[in-house]
Amino acid sequence: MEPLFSPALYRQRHQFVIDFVKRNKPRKVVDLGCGECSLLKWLRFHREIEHLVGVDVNGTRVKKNMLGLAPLSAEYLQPSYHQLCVELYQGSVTQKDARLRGFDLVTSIELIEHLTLADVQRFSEVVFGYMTPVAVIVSTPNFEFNPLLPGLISRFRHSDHKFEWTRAEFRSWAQKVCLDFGYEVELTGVGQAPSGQQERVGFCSQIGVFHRLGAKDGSNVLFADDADDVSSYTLLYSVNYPSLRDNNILQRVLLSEVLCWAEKLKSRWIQEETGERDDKEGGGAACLSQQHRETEKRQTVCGAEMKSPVEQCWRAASEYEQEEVPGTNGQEQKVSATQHRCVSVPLAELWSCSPKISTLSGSLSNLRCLLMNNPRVKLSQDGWAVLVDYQDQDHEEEGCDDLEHSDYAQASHFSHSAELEDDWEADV
Amino acid sequence: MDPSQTPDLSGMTGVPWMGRGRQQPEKLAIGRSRGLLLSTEVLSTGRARGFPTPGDIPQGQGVTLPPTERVLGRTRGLPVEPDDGGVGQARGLFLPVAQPKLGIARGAALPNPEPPYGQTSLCETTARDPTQEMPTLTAQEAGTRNVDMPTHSQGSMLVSMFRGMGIEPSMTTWGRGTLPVGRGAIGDMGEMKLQGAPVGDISSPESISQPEELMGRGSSFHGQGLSPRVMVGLGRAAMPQLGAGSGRAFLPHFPPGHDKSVSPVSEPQTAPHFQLLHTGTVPPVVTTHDVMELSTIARPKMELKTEEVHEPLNKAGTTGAPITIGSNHIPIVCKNKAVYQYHVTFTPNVESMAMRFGMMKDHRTTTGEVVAFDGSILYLPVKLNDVVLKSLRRSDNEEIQIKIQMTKILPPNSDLCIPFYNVVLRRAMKIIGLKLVGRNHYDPENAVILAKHRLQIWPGYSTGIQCTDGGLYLCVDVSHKVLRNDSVMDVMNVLYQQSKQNFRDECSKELVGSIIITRYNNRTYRIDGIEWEKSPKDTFTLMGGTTTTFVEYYSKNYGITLKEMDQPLLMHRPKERSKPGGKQLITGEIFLVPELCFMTGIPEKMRKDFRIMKDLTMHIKVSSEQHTQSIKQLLKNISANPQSVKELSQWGLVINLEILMLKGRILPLETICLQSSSFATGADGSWSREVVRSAPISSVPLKTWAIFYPPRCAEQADELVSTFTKVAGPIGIRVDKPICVKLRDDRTESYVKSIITNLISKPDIQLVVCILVGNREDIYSAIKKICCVQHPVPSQAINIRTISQQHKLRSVAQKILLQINSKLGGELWTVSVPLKRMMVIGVDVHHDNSKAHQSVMGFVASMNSSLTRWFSRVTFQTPTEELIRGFSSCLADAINRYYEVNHDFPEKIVVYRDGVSDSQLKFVEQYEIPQLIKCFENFPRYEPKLVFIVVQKRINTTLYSWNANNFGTPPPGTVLDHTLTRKDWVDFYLMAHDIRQGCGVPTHYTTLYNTANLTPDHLQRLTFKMCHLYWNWTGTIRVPAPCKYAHKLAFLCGQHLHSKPALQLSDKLFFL
Repeated sequence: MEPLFSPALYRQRHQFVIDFVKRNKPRKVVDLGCGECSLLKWLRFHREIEHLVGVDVNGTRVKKNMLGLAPLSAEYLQPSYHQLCVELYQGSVTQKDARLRGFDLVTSIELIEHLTLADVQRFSEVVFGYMTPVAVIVSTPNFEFNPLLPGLISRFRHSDHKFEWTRAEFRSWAQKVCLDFGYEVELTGVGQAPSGQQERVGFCSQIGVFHRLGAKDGSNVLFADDADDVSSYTLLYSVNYPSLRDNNILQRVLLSEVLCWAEKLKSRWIQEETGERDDKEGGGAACLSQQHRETEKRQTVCGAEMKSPVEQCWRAASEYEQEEVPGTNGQEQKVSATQHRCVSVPLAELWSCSPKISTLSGSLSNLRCLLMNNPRVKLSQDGWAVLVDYQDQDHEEEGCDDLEHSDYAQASHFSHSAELEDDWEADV
Repeated sequence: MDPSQTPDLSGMTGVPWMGRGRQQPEKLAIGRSRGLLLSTEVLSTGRARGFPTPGDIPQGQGVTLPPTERVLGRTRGLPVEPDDGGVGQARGLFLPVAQPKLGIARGAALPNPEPPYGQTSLCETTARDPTQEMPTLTAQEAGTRNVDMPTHSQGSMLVSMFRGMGIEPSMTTWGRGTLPVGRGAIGDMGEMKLQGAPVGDISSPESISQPEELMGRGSSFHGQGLSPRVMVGLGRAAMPQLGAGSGRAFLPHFPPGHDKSVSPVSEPQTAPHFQLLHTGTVPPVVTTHDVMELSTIARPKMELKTEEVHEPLNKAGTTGAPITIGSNHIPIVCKNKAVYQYHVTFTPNVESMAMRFGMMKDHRTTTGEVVAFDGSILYLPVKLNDVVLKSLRRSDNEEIQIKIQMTKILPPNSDLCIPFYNVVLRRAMKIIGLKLVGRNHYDPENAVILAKHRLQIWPGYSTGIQCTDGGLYLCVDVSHKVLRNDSVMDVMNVLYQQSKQNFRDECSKELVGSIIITRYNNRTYRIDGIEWEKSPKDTFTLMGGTTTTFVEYYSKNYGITLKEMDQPLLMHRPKERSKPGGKQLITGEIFLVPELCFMTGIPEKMRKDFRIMKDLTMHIKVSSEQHTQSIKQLLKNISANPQSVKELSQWGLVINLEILMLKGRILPLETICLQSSSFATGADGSWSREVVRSAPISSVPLKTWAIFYPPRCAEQADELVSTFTKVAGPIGIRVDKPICVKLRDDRTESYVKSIITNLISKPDIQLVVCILVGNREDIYSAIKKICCVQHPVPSQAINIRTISQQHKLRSVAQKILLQINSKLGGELWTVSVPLKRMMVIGVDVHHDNSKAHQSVMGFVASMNSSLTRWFSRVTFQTPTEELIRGFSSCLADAINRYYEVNHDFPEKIVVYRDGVSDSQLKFVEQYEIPQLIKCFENFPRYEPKLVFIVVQKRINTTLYSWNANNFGTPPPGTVLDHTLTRKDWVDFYLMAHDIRQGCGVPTHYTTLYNTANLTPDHLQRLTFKMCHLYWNWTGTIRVPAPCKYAHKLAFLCGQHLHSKPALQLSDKLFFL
């Protein structure tokens, strides 16, 4: 059987909400009657939202699905700037809970038809009168559409529906709500009727989009907490998504970026230096190194004011090299001489090289502040440069025996390397 | 269980099977839509044949009272008829049961239409409530019941009648009865069951073997004893009959069941009120009891049967010193007494799985929240009286009857239940905040960041609930996930910066085969290719049929704005498998946007970088002490969280807090024999000092050999040659002066040309030695291709780095010399194996990670009794091709060769087979081993004894030693052959190698076949001995040497040669 709606009607309803979110960028959203949390699962990707709440009267259903709202693994790999807190409550929409006041958007998708008319009245009072969000989206079946639904035998679309409204009935309820609580409404819907009948029957799901009058400035009313600080809902789930606004996370990400770039720059310079030395010795790598240097220059030239710190750093790096020169005759000596030596990488250089570092830290001094008290990074005396161990480079040269072609030697590593392999394989 | 979780289930035992079962009713659909009618139909046909009584029940009439009466009447009439011997027992059994049962059903329904009671019962079962309707309704219920029941009673009735008449109830008669309904396999099954019934005795081999075979067809249903299989088979078989009375099918098998089943019947008689409460369901109540009794009775019987199968499973060895060891297993107590299996029938049939799930969901009040349902089989931790529920089908408002009947009571540690336990375990893991990546759970909050390499290491666990010989255990392995900080897009950008010309090749090399995780869901995909011609601007078709671009899709659904429009797409080819519902086959390719993907695992390049690996292993390799600490932490986290505890308790699971402690044994140390000396191995299983002091068993004098080196290695090459001559004496190997070839440069062509010229000009060259600079895999491959394929000659490649350190040169040279000696056909050492005329075979398979090349099977067979001469073969296989063909031809070659060498055939053949996963064990047993045995037929009057041992080293089991209140690693030779072993096989865990870093992961050995009747002791000791014979390592290794040789061989061919090595080399260990 050809589906009546494509995409499926429920998806269309969800998409309606998502489109609304994209347009209006509400920061705090609550979904009443979230059920299996499917709408919330989509909404959480739209990171304009900072606080996402779901409420359903059926706690077990929520519990079953709530883990799907946990942050995805990738959120930890590349945390976003946006904050997001997801909370799920068990509670009835006919009861008040202070925690749900002051939201930007309340959605109630196919919910009210499950309430008795008396409860709908209470729902209106709670949502529009008590929670007073900036906007409300209410969807409910359009009774007039029912004759077009194939195979619908009973009066209503679901046995639990207490009523299904015609467009007129919905409109009158909506208008009353607007009058009572100071909202304006725009009636629309999703699920187009077959051609020619749209006018006659309307949308399959009718939707009312309510806006609070006088809330155009975007700011929400702040409640005096004195009146009634009720909390009738039970918190079932609450999770904070990793975000760069969390200072710990920011530090962690920034640090990993800084260390990575510092390493990268260090090895680039050292490579160049050794290239130069080779040059003096008449090695063949001369032109290569030259080229390399040029590219380096070109790269750094872009920030003209950065030039001096770059030069400085060059000097710094070469000074270290110079110191080393007397020692170069003996291999051993050199190693010991450089043992405790560091390459200093100016923050300015890092800041200009890596767009990520610059965006993460915002400003150079901010970067310095952020790195200042981190035990995992060594800064120079004045705090304007990162010190990276030189020693490591030596090790790299020393220990970079990649593929051991002596099979025997390979075998001697075998016993543990094979074990490693196994563990890793298990990880995949 | 929630239907959305069934995908999880489907990966597990028995579910493919369930899927199949599900499809059958679908086929039935046409016939079934008439539901009740169908059964009456069967009934009437049956009756027409079996009874002279006219088939006077109008179809679909089963709803009204009269037919109920009649049916009952007939049923009751039955016992009178067949009174003749033999079968009588079985029959006599069943019928009386049926009789009172039905009688009560009627009695309850009719005379007691008391409204209050009736109403409650109705609420329970149906959606209708008007009280006046009640009597009719109940009657209807009873009617339906009864119509069903007779279907069966008639089955046996008919059969018995035939018996009585002297007519064998042949397949065909029954086949005809069921076939018109239009189902194939199930029809068979039904027949079989019914055929089994008249036989009336479980010991009849046919009646048992048949269902088993059927189950075999049901595929990957594994690790089952005989009993569950038969039982399930019957449960299935019942389906065509609208699910009634699979229990009944047993009845004839188990005469004693009868006595017991009577007593519950009498219960309702004495308690009419109780009965009334369930007016609608009275017959079921009785049936339930009935079935239960039966299955409880059935079990001991069946166990008897399974015990027979398990009889040879004496897997305990005795030799060796006892040792206390721990393992990463935590005992689980199951508080539930049983898990109940039900069969759910939808009448009229509901095709849509989603709808079936939905309808079952509506009845959570009846079933409880803890449900495992696959569409037709339902498992509950609670006992539920058989019920008929009603639901409205949303699509057409038709009233659907859902009949839930108990088919079996499973012991809580039944293999069928394990998947459910693992589902709740996974939820518990999520509840405590761990993230699922691939199959394991990780904790990103405690990630270790290796900034330098742009990697993150997430600590985590791989967990699973298993049922082993010792009972239910939670197996926890500490796992680490390595992830990249960067998206695949970033990685591609870096590669582009590095080499613009070979960018695409480099990308494929780096990316294809790696596992990625996406930004927008928690799924992992394997990259199977890169689509350079595609971009996010391309379109694809959504499920609903609408077409959209990738850009649009991600923006619309996930609010993600793609930054790079020109990126290629990554392609993932999913394995062909059916969707959770069992209907749709997932095919076609999945395209992923690099910008939204993160790579997981250690990049291939870094894997080769010792420095990075050192950093990584520091975090990944955990000691036993750390291992146990993190396990305890996990247990603490689970038990401290009330939600996760509750989750587990759904199936009655309670996890202990203590790590399992066991008694293991340390096998006696082996004696290594050289030519004229022998010595016992040290406790660390190593003998590197001893072997260089005296002569190996035999050595090949190195007279003509050539050494190739690039100009800058001349010095080291000289040094090496002189060191060779210095150390050769004590080792007892003669080394003459080599032909020294100084190459023009270190390009691949220089090596290739020079080697070929020399090999052609001096055909008597015994050995080619090449000195390589740096990590030159291409040169290595080129050299090996020449020396293994084109101009077969043993070759030795040496990285300059290994011979650059003066102080190490001596020992390095010694080892290289030993290696060269093995490659040339010399024999280094052996251990004594007290089994003569034995051939030991090792088999391993190498799979190419990027899937660009075929898989390779390496095969190595011993050619002499001291196990020092080896014959090797290689076969290539396409991914779809089975391994078996190549395997048996290799075996035939090896036997032939053995005969040539020894003028005799091996009497015993021991196969160590590596590269078999748990799920393939059954397959290996059923197909691979028979093929091997068949191979012996090629030789006249030759029937050797065969031992087939599967070697698994990638297992989650870890063993710890326990000394002075500290966990450590157990010494080489530690063996464990109980508690954690599998129920179905003779198996053991052996730690043969010495562990210097990390945790002790033993190797698991599973004996699938053993006609040599080697005792567990012999199997264990032989295996341990075999772990001493790898000549590239002066110590014990974790797998038997032949497996390691086979691995080396397969790796060389798969990674470097990409073709079979020359046959001339087949009796040398040229691949070492």
